[in-house]
Amino acid sequence: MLLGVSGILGWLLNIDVLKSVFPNYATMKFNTALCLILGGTAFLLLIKYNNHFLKAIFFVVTVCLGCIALVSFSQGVFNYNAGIDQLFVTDYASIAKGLPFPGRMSPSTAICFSLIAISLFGVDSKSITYRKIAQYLLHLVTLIAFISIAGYLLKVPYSLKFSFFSSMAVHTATAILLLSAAASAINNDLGITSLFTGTGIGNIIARKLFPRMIIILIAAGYVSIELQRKNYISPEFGVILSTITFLLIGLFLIRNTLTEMNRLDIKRTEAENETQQLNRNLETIVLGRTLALKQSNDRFLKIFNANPTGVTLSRLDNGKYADVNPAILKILGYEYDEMIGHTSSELSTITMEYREHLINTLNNHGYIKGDDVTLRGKNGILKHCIVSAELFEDEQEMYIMSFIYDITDRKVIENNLQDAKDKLEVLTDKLTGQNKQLLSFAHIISHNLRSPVSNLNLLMHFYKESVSQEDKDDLWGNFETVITHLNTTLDELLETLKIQEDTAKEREELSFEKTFNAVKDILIGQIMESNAIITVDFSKAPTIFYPKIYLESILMNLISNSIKYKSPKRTPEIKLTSEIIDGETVFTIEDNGLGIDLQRHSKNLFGLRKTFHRHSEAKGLGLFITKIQIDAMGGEITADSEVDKGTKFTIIFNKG
Amino acid sequence: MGMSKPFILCFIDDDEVYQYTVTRSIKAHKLAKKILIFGDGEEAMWFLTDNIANNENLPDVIFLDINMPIMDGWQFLEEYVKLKPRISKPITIYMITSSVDPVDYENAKRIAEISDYLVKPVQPEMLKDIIESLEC
Repeated sequence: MLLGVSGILGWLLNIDVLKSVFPNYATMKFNTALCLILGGTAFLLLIKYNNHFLKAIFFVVTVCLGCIALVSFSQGVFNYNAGIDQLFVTDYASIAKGLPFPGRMSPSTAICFSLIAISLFGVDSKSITYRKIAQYLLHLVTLIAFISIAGYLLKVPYSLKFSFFSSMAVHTATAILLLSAAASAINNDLGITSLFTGTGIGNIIARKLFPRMIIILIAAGYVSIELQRKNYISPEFGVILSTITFLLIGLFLIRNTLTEMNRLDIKRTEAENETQQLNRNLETIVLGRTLALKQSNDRFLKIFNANPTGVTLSRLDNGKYADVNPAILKILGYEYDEMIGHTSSELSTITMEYREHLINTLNNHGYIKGDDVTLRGKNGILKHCIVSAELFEDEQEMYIMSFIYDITDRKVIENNLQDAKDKLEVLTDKLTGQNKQLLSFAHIISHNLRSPVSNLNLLMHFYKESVSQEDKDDLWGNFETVITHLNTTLDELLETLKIQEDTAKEREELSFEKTFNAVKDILIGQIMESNAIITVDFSKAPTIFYPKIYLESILMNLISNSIKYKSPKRTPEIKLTSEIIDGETVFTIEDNGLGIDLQRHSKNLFGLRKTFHRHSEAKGLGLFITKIQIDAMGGEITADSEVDKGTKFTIIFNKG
Repeated sequence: MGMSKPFILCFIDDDEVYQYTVTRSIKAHKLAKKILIFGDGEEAMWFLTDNIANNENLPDVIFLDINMPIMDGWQFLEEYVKLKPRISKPITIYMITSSVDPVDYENAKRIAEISDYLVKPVQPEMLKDIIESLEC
């Protein structure tokens, strides 16, 4: 291409030396230079292009090259003038010399460029056949150019029957030679080029031998021809001399080749030895690595198999278990074969929702840690487990590696603990209740016993100081009151203590109706005297499982209270019912009596010696005993009352 | 026999024997010119309400029991606080009870109207000290 550029410059600036290297030899025509540029450009594009635009340019350039060359060539063959020879510049030198076609490139040049253009297309072809054809065409071009150059080197006279080749300028020939050789190197595995490329020993020898051969042969030919021309030797002797020279040179080259080949062979042997050594080292390394790998694998297997934590390996894509360890088999109760190849959804080990959650979490975070999951084992056995999982890649397959820690036993213990705690709370409540009772007992004792005792002390004091018999009698009367009072109090306390002591009183199936009738018989006097109307409805819950003596006592106290605190304005009406509410037997007694001011008395309603009415018989004992009895059996009594309207007591016998 | 103290003492207590002994002690020591006895808070409240304008009938000191039927000591105090603005005579109130319950003691301390909390049995000397302290 550079030569082409210089050729064009030569024409444009009319510098002869750039047109023709040796004076009087053929000149490089402008078109030739142009063709060289086009060919060079096409070649560069061919090896460089990587997009459609450059490919298109390559196509255009090559077509131009082909057109110019073919037209030029056809002019010579068909003897016509297409007018392209001096299209750009005028070949004054040739006109001056009187040459027939000034500015026209030689036919050999034209044919070379035509062949190059065709070859450039062939070189790029996908078909091996076209590529081969292109390669040999390029070799032909190389040959033509080389003959031309050789002609110059051996100074073959211009006039000899050599004009087809000699008409090509020497630098044109060189450029074409380079271009065709370079183009043939693109497909260096084809044709003659393949001899020189490659790393085979033959290729190396070919590369070394060929340039020497060319130089030596050309030099020898030159000397021989020169000697003949100068008539120092006869042509016959020249042939002999040539032959001998060839033989000598051949011997020299063979020797050279031999040395070279031997040298290469030694090198190869050395390389082979080295490779063997390397191989041996490699084997040692591989052996070591394999051993380490085996140890690591053994270690992994031991961790996998001996681990008390369950480990499963399941494929991420289809969920099938690829491997499981003995611990998980023990947890879930499966045999190895019952799990392998199956999915967790087939075995219902985990719910579909949990698997989805698992996969989502793994895809987003890469791991799961400490999930509380209930796993389903063989035969539907449920196991509470802590699950951790991670994604794991093995031989380009994604797996989920799950670690399952069975906490079922722990859960059972936890539940037992919870149960124990609940029971303890119930017990505590009961104890708190009992404590309250004890506290109220302390009060009862402090109040009901301390008072009479301090009274006795004071009376004693007065008695000792008393001088008159009258006074002493008076004091005796007081003594009697205190002692009676003290006796009553002690009896009441004893009764209360008795109730609280025998909480294990035997329960039995009791009929409300029958119990009521028995109580009614005892209270018949009061009922008749007060004209009380008592209605009962025990149909919804006719019986109760309760200690007989308590139920009688409760009914007795409540009914007699209702009669005792009747309104003087109304005929007493007392209503008794029983029913089941929330699975518990509930008893109510309602009257239309005086009622109690609950705002004032609710705190002391069931307390001992709490009376709320100015009534001769109010001792503040009935409700106290009733409550103690009901509490002792684990029940509850509540009151609802309005002054001068009536009172309603509600009893739940067994408060859950 | 010398002059009795010029005070009207009021005892609110349901214990009849206590009523007897305390009356006897006060008479023996001439600690009051008049003794008022009520069996429960309600009776006492009725009396106070009836005599609210008659300072000469109102007590100087009230000895109040806690545990009583109908209206106990606490309930009496509640009513008394409502009544107090209408009473012009200064009345000192002592809580006298057999209760050793610390809760009762704490409650009593919290009520401004209560001067002190005495635990039965109340000896005549104790009453004497209290009444003499009123004279100063």
